[in-house]
Amino acid sequence: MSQPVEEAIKKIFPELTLTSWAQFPAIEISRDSLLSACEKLTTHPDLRFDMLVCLTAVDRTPRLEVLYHLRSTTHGHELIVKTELDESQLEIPSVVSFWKAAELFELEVYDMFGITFTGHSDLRRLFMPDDWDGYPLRKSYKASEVADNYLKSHQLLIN
Amino acid sequence: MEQHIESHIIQSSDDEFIINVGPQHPSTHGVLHLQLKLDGEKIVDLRPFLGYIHRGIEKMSESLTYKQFIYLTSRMDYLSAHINNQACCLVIEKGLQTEVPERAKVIRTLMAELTRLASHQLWWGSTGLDMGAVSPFFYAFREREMILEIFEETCGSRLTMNYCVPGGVMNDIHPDFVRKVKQLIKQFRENIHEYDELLTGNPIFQSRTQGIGYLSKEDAIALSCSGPVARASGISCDVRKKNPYDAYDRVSFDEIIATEGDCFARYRVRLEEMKQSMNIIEQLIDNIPTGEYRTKIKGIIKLPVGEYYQRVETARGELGVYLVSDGSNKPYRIKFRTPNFSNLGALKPMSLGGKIGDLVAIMASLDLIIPDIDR
Amino acid sequence: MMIHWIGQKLNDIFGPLWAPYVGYILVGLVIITLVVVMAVISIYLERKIAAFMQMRLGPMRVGKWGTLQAFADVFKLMLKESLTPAQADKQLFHIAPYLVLTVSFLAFAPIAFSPTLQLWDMNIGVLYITSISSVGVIGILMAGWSSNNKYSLLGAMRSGAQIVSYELSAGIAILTIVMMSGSLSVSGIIQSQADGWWIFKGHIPAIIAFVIFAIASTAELNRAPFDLAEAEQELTAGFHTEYSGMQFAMFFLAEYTNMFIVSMLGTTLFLGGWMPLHIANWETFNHLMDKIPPFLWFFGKVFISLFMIIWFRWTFPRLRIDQLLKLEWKYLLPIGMVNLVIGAIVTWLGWIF
Repeated sequence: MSQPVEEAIKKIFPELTLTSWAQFPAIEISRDSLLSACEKLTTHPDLRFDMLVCLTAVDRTPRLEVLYHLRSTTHGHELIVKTELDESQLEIPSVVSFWKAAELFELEVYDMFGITFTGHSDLRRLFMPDDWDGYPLRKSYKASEVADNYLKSHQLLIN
Repeated sequence: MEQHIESHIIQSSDDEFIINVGPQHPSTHGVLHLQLKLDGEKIVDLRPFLGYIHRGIEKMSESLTYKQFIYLTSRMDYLSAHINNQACCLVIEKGLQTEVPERAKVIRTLMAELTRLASHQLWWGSTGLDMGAVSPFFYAFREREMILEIFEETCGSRLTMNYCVPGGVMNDIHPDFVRKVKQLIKQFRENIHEYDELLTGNPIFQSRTQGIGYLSKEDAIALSCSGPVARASGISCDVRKKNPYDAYDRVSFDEIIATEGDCFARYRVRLEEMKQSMNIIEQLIDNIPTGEYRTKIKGIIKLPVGEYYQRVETARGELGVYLVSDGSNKPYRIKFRTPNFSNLGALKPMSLGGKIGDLVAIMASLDLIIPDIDR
Repeated sequence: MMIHWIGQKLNDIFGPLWAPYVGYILVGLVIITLVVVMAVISIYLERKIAAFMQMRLGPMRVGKWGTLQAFADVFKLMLKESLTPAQADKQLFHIAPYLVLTVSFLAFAPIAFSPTLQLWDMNIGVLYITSISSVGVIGILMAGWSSNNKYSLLGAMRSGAQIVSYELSAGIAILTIVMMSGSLSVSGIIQSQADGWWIFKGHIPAIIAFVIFAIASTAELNRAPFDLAEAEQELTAGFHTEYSGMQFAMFFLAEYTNMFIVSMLGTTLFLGGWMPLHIANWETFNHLMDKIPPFLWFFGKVFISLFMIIWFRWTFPRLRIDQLLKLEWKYLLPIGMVNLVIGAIVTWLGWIF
């Protein structure tokens, strides 16, 4: 049996504090060290997080949290990686080179929150129309106003 | 509208041909819009366009109470509606730390397995239909009709049951439930050989699915595929085995894994899963514990501040519910990690280099439900 | 006898100069009626057989047990608007369905329904039927091209490629029987089966030829399992996408008529045409069989072949275009040619029952 994932994380990332998110251990990484951390997370033999279960974001104004839920199919352990972004600078490197699943997940986060993933080959709005104004899952988004404006500007409103 | 469609046209050289599959198309199992770049009959590039059935379930849930948002989730993967509801109820119960009575757990598991059976039957029928064999569709619906009648008697509705509530199930099972389920199992066991005779052994069907749409194990892990798609590529990932919930820890069943990774392997995995579901139902149906069918949760549900997570195995793979609560009576943020969203990513590596006729076979074997992707 | 009587009457009424022409028109009308009646019956049969194979009832409301369903469908199609696509080639677009239908009607000429009921016993009857059917491909390609629609064109091309390929195998199967019976005329082939149907008399080469003919003619009809060109579940919706109303009804009618022609050709060549079933030395049995009128024998056999064609459609999934063409060029054609040689040897050595 492999050693519990908490010990491995403490050894490989001694500078980080281990917290928890739901029932999983969680670490918080800054935006700039994200790529190097992902490198270690995927290649280190004790970690081997080869599956990106989910990539999502939570709007905690004035900051946005990007969450990566990772799983190792070889060892069986799971980890949550958090990155906090300030509202004024919503850019983060893309992890598509580590996990191909990130391609679709990042498109959704871009569409719903407005976070730009640098290095993603084809960043486009996934669910909303291309000329939609605003990012729906942000707390500051007013759904009925945006929808009414869109329909009016495209002459789709009946009255 | 015209401007944004043009900007998405794939760059093409002269003798390449761009066509759109969907969004309205008999074989895309929903409103999926694919843009294909073809070189003769060969597919050179593939790009999915989503959002035709995006209803904003995650955003809507932020303005509904905990008891209300569960009903939205039946509309995500509508063929595993009960299992989606079950996931939400489990997450809320985890947050409130309520004990669910044994009877409710067994009833929920039985309903989940019946749902899985009905979903796989519809998948089988529509696979035959996509391949051009029209008759299997009617054979599949013969037993599915029995399951839907059982649902209607107990839950009140055939497709979107809304039967799970936090704390248990909404009502006790109908008095005829046990008898009808036993009759269904008996009839289905007698008839399941017809499924093999009609499609599995047919040489035309085999030549259209064997060796087509290969997904390697590494690709399946990198794309976070789950469910029968991943299991047919050799990954052991059944949530019912890895993290049992409700009554799954007291039943014994096999996890079906194949290694070929082609369309025929996915087909066989699902057929075998139907048989395993019947085993689970048989083990539970005679021993439904007596007692309460619901733990009453008093008052307005408010989850303590924090994050909660639960995963379940729907008919198509692993559904994960991430819930962030800020202590109020409405969820702060809900994220549904749906299996079809990641399985869609597998479509491109499987179809590149193949022919259009193969695309239909691959989509039939992936068993995508588009409302689950768009939410 | 009745033919002579009608001939005399015409002569009396119209005089010897005009009588033949009036006769031709009458015959044409009879054939058209026959074709329409047979198409209606086969449409009804197809829907009922499909329904019974799928555990349901099929049309039940229009007329007793749904017998008038075909008329209701035709009536509906007549009332629909016949649209022409915007940039379509108008002349070709309008001619195509009529070409396909005319060709189907023309193939009825040499078919013998009974010893006395045959329209035109030409000495190259079988060759005439195969060559006339080939002209139908032109109609299909015309329809696909003139629709000004990418998908119709793709569908028409696939259809055309399929029909042209399978004509070869069908032709070789037909050739085997022609060789064994020594005559191209329909009545000659049927007469040569007076002592037994070719499928029994010709043993191995005839049975192989029959199987090849069955597969090849189903493919020529563009029916399942070879109906990729018009399948809804594939991308291309076929060469008749852009047609609606009466023109679509023409394509529909042509398909069922072709089904009939193929069944009749198969019956004539392999199953003895209007010859009753005789088993050697069973005199009473043979006597009984002779009592059943020949045209009943003929239509009975035709309906059995029709049932088989319908059965194929509702049982098998569809073949992909490359699998379809591979089947023809790599399997059916070589087997057919070897079979032809075997048939030739068997005939030359007289090893026929």
